[in-house]
Amino acid sequence: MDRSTYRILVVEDNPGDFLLVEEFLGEHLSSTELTHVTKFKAAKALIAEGIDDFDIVLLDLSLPDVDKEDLIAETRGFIKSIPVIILTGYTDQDYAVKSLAHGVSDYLIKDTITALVLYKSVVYALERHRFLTSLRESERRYMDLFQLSPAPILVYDLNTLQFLDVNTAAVQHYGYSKEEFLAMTIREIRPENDIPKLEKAIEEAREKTERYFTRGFRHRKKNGEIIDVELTSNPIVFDGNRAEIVLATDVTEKLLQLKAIEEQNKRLRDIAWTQSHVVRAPVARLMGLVDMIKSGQLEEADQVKFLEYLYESAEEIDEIIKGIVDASQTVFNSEEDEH
Amino acid sequence: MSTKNCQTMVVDDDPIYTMLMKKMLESNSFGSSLNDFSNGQTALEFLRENYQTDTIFIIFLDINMPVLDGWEFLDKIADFTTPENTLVLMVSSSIDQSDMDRANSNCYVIKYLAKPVLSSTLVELKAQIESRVAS
Repeated sequence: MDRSTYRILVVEDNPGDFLLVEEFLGEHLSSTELTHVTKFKAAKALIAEGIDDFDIVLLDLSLPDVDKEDLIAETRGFIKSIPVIILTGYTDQDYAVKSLAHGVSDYLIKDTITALVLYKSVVYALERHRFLTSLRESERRYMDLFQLSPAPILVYDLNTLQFLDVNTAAVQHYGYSKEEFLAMTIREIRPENDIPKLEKAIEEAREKTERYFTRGFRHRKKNGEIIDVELTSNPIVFDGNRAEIVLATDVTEKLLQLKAIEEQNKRLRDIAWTQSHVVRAPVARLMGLVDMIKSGQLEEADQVKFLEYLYESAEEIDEIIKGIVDASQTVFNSEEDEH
Repeated sequence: MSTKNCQTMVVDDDPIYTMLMKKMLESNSFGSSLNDFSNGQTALEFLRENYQTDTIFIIFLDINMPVLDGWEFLDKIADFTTPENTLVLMVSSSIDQSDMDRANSNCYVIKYLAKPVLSSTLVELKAQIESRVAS
């Protein structure tokens, strides 16, 4: 005996058939909460009130208030949330089979229903529904990961180079709508001059079997702006086609900052070089001159000349220090400009 | 240094410094002849014309010079000289460690001298070179 509680909505206009169903259900299920309605509209209203109130719907195919040809279409509002089992006679079997394609869990021919058949059908439908729901949820989670990724992701066909899918971040970053993307190939988001480089990269991409990283590429946005990108790519099969999923990181800002830092470093290196080579030259000369004067080897006639040398060297130092102050000022000024 | 023919060369674009060096070298009787050059190119031409295997060349070489600098000079002389009789003293006002490392890794350079080269340094250097030549 199954002791779980099942909340079952039975839509059946024939009182005899309902009694039979009620009796059969009771044989294998100890706890059921049956709700009985005789019209489809009433059922729909109940479901609309609380879609979580029912675990399963048992639906008679011939109801007074809805044409059975339209019945399946009418279930479209809830069939993904609640499993539906169709109850029908022999005459409508073909139609019942077709209904399976529209999401109906099962159909039972009324004359052949037994307690066990009904029980199994209900339990199977519920289990399958649980499984499908979790599958759908995981699918949605993956779609969310794709769509909600803060970095642009592009999927393209490795043979035709056509875009197959792009996420929201790609649409926002590049300025093309999803439809515009899907009408383009990856060639069209590259600057003209980079096409030969792209062709070569695609040749290589077709050989790849696992994730790889490339840098040094440029993309073109819809507004014509060229951005530097780093790409992490992975080959995938997309709708049966060999495709590649690409995570594109815009590094334009980063590269600009890097360049600014490199330029500043160069200026600082120049200053350091100047300190070491240019500043020290006249200082060393001064020291050499003083050393010579101190040694007492200097002839009388040379002494005036040496004083002039000393003064020249001192002047040279003065000039150089002014130059360094100016150069440092340039570094600090450009730093302020960037902030 | 008296036993063998020994030529001293001062290669520097600073005329005051060259004048000082020459005065110091003369008073320390460095080598049998003394020549000075204002850049690496003229020094290179002189060495090419006068190079002999039985003569010792002591070269005080500045790093930063116009036309041909000290590093380029060292590259060029590798074609026709050997470090056995060509002794280079790298002289520079630079106290940059990278310059010192680069100089010390060159086979011609026996010592890196940061300016100013003082008379006392030359006395030590002379003794060092004499023992090196004798051995």
